[in-house]
Amino acid sequence: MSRARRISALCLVALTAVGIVVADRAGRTDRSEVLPAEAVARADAAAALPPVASDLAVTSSAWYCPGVPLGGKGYVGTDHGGDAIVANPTDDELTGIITRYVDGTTPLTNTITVAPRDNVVVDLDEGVDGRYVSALIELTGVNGAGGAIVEQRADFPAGESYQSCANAPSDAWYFADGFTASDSNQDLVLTNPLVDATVINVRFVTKDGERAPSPLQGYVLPPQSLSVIEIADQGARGEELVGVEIRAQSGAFIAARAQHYLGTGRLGYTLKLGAPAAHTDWWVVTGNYAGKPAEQIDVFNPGETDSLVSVLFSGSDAVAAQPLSLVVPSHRVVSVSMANVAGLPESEFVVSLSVLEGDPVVVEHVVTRQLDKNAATSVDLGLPSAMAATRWRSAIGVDSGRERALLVFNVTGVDATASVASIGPAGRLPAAGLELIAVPAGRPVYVSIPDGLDLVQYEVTATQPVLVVRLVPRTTGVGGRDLVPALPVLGTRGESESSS
Amino acid sequence: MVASVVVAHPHPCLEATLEALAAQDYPHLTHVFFVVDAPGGATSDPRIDATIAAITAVLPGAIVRNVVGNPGYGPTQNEAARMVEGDNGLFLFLHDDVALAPNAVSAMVAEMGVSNAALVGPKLVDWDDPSLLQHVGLGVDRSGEVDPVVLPGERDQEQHDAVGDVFCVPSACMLVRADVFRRVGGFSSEIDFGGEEIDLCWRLHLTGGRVMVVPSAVARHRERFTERNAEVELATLRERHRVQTVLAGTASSRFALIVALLVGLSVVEAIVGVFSRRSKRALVALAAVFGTLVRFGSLRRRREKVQSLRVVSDAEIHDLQVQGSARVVSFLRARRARADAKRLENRIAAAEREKRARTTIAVFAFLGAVFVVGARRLVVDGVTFVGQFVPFTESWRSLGAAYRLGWWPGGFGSATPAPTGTALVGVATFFSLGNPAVVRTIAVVGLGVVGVLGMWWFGRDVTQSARARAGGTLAYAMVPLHYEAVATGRWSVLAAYATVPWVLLAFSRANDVLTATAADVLRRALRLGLVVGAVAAFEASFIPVMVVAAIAYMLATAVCTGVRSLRGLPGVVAGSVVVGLLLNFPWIGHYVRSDWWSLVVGADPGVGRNEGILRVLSFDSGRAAFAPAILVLYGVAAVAVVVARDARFVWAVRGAILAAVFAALAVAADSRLFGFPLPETGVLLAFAAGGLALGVIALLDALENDVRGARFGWRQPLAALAALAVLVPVIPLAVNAADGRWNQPRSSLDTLLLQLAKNPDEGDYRILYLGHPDLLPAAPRTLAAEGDLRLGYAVTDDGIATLFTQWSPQQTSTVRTLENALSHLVSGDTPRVGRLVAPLGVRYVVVPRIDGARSTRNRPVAVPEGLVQALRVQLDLRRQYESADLLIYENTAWVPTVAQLSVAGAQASTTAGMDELVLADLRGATPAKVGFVPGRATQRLEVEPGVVNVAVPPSPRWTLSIDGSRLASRPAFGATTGFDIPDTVAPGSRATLRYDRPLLQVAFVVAQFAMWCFALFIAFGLRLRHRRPLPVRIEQGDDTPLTFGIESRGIESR
Repeated sequence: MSRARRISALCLVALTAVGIVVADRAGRTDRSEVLPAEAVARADAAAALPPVASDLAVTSSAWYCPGVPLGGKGYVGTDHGGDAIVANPTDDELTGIITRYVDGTTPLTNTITVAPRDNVVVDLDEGVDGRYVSALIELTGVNGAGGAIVEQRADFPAGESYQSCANAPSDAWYFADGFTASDSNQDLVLTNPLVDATVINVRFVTKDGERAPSPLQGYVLPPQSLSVIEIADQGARGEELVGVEIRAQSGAFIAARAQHYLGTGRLGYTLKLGAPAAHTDWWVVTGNYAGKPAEQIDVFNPGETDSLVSVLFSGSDAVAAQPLSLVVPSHRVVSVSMANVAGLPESEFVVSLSVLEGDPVVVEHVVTRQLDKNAATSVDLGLPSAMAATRWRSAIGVDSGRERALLVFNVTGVDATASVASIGPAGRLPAAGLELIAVPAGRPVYVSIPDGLDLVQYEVTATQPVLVVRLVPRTTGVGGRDLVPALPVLGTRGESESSS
Repeated sequence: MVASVVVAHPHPCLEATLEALAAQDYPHLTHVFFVVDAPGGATSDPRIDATIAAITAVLPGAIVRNVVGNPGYGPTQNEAARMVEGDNGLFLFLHDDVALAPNAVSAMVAEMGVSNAALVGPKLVDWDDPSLLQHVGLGVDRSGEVDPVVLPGERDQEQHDAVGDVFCVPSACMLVRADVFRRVGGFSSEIDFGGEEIDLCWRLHLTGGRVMVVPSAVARHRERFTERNAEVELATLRERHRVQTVLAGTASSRFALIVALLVGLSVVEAIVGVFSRRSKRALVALAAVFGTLVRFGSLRRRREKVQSLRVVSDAEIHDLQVQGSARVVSFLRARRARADAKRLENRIAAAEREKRARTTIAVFAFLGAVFVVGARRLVVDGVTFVGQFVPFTESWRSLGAAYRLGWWPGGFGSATPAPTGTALVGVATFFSLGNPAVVRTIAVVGLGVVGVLGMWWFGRDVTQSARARAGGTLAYAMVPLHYEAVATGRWSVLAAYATVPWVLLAFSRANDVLTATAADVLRRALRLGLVVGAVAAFEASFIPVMVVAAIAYMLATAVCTGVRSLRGLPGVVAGSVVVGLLLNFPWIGHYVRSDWWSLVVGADPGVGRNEGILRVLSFDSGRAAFAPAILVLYGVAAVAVVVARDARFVWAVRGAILAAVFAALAVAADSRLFGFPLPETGVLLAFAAGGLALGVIALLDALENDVRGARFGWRQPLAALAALAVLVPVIPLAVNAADGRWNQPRSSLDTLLLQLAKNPDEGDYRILYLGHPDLLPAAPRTLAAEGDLRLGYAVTDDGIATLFTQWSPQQTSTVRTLENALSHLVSGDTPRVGRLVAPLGVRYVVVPRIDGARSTRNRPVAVPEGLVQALRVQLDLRRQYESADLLIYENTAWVPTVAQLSVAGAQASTTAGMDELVLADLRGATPAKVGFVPGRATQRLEVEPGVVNVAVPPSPRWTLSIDGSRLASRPAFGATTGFDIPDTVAPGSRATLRYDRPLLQVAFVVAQFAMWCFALFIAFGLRLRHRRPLPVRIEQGDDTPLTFGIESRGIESR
């Protein structure tokens, strides 16, 4: 064999050996980088957010309305109850099945049909007897049920409360706020829509510390049922701050907090979903500080390590408040009272909360406004920054001439414009006078509804990602307004563009 | 006397042959030469002219005839008898490589006259070393077996110098009386090469003629026929002709006995041959017996012709034959001779040989012990159901039925041909006396052994050194590939491991064909194609992997020895691929799709396993202890390249290239370098293992031939160190064998899955497995999901997975419906996935997390937690079982596989949309059949008016017969098969569900069976038909008849 051939062969062997190293170096990714990609389902991501809408074509959509009060067994009055508002913004008829869960009885099933671009209001309390009724509303249509949204209105003598229905059950729910002072009533309304029993552990946090009542450890939510837990009966009576953490050992469920405030600075009624997950970045769009409402932000750390949270106030040039740094210990709630923050303006502002170190947190916002005759308390969940979107949708209508009906906050550093479109039998039409709303960068803007414009269901579209909160007036009880975030439309083309 | 010489394939010895003829002291010798074409030659071949010129130069008076083609020795020599008139003469038939001593002819003539023999032959001695005996006549037993009388290497010490009767003399040189020769009809025209002397002598004996050996007549004989004519498989031909001679020459009264004897001996030899590498010879003989009997007419004619010569009884002929078995006699004699030789041989040489034998024996004793110890519990306790090692529960009948039916029961079933592998397993099960579990255990335990033996066999082509072969065999056994495959349940890897040495052997043989003719290429391609086809029937990716191996092998060869040295290899490889594909037709048509690659390589998880380069190069799947020890073999292979010379260097380079290329591919697969999936890492690494073993052989061979005895330098210590390093992985091999199961887990998912009952009263059902493709107990498909990771899924019928589920199911409307539902599941579109899959019979959704083999608690394979989250919020799925290993959900909305639908279900079955299914509550369906057997043509149902839903893809071939009337099927739910039962049918009526097999399927099955038989027969030389003898066509020469010289005429009267 010639020397040249021998050298060529040796080079070939060396080359292929180098190929092994190249194959390793060029293609290798850190194993730890691969593992997060194992989450193939989007369900967990959706479940981690408060209710959202989607325009993606889906086979069916399911909405879990957390419940409305019934007044108890044998109650025959008319001031308890509630409705589910099913909005169909699509051009196709939707059909659906409503399954109602009442404590102590078997689920009831009805079917509904929702005409294109129409609303159906479902009377949830019709024909049922118990303390609460919750509902699962499954919708499907010719081209899927994407785009539909469902919200609920809970009626109570102290005033009604609005809440968007949840997208999915979760294995954990958190409530940063809670209030049992002055014999205020705080119920946890827990719905298990699954065919499996769900076993939960409930822990709550007061100023004195964390408690885990033994009856609430391994608490069983039977399959397809609704259960109610009165927090006050679990040793948390007379507390001005009760954060609640509910985790499932197995299964998933829907958790809402029904709150009847009877004094010590709070009055009225709210029935709100908890937060299905903690987040690191939150927005609280507070509204107008004019009138000096009693306003506080509750920050709950359900994690195992303490969290360092920075609190920034912004929204207008008038904001002169200094940023705060909060240390939120593990399994504790820290409240920030706006009354104690110097430099806040009497105009609109927002609060940004970011976890700098430690575990994610849950943020709730409590406002008690002093009205002419009494005070009215409103509670809303903060908005995780992931909810910022260019389109928002509402099934709850708004009457014409309503001042400051919406609050739109531009989360970006770029000036934007927003427009409101009415969705009705005639299609999607721009709301006259609301076609071009300037939303400056980093600022909240109130939107008032012009006279003569009734919006049954509507959509807010912005050129930049925004947050939209509705101020829904209460027509009964203590009055005032309920702060209810609209539903961001996620997963749309516009959303992906803006995200990129 | 006419001396007739057939000259073929000119060689350097011809001149000596001619000179010897010219130097004969016998005066009246007429020389006739028949020059036949050289292989690949033509009539205008200059070599023929050169040969003729050489003959005429030495023997100017010789008659030379050019024979077109090469019709064979006997038929050509018959031409001499035709050319010469008269009976009072002698024919001296000679090979062209026989150099007679000057007195040889006269001595034979003299003895013939003295003994009145019909045929005599000389003492044949070795061409190069005349002191070595070659033949002094041949003994033959009743079955035609030859006893060579002299031992290989036996020196001529005049021990055989007595004139005597023998049964036969070699055709290399025989002197025969012309009258006798004509009376018996000359050489058989049906025997071209091999065995013509036995046939002729047998017929001579029938006429009462004597056959004698005349040791005083000496001839040197080169006897290297196969070297000169690689096309002719002389051993095979001899076997065939032996059988034909015996069957023709035996008296009718003993015919049945001799047939039974031939068959019995062949069967015994075949069984023994499994261990002594002589099975092919026995198979050839067996085939010859049956082949000859089948051609009854031909046999009858031949027997009539031969028996008409008979003047003596068979008993007298048997007295001339070797008593008992000639083979046993010669074996015992050889054994005695070896014992004698051992005592006599040079002491140093004997010690050296013994040393080598000791090495080989030690290696095989060690490997034997390791394999026995390593698999003892697998044999005693059984193989665990882990990975692909599903229990074999199907009988050969059910496998055969499914194969013939044209309905593939895997997954939801499909109206397509069944995989060839089912038929192969069916055949194996048949030969296991109907015990499929035995087949499974033997396959699991035996495939590794097959691979190791293959490496030993392959080593013969690489080196003459037994020590080097033993080292290579040991290295191949030490590679943790086979026992990791056993531990993790990978049929594909085991099959590749068992096959790779044989593929390398085929490469080597194809590459070494001196003159690759089309027939050569075809036969070798068929052999390799058979291997490839058999493996591809179970692991389709083996075909492209083998092609890459061939390219690497050819590249190494071309670089070392030039492109021309590739010879027949490209043709053989291409042919084998075609054969492999054809043997799997029509099932292989399943892969003719746009996404064929993903089907070939199996389910694509979307990401590499990311095990890391060290684990990949260590062949470590996670179960082996001390696997990194094998890394030293890479160093050994590298050293082999550095120290080896000449042919060893070529082999070392081939080994190194194979190892490096496939190691790189395996690493690329692990890291997903190319962005698309590659075949399973273990399958790739099988060739790397082969390359490493080849490197070890080359190193040890080089140590003996290139390093030892050379001038001392760096090569000696380096090679010695590398040789010692070969022994390092011995310890891991022994350690991993210690538990008796090759580290296979004792329990696995199957024990947990037993809770899913088979054929429950509430109806048959399906199980949907979701998760990482590596962990699914059936052949998975994958579904693109968000992120890189693809969701694997597989569907099985109730109970644990079966053999039918081991091939990826076809894409059908049912599969599409399932995939749609799964897409909705992973994208969170609907909480009613249970309802979407209910008509498909899916009752359980199982998510395996840890199987104890490829996924362990210490190193779990990625489980898509998002999937678990998605399942958790499904409204129809009830959690049945949850542990760290496994998650089982029951679909409360399920409908039995064969179900009488509820009213709501019947109504919903007429629609075909997900939207409808989401809102449809199908509960309330009752089973119309419990124990539905997919793959069976007819099944009994119990029906009532309404709709019967069978959760199989719609096909018009499904019909339902009730009281003699046939109901056509219709698509139900857009995905399954439905039957509308009229109201006139009484509740509880018996009905027959039938699948009509397409005629084309019958044709396919027959064609495929024929192809396998054809390939087997051709590849292993088991021809049913003989080659038709070529007619003798003499191209030139005048027709003037020759006559014998006057001196010859007196012989008969003497």
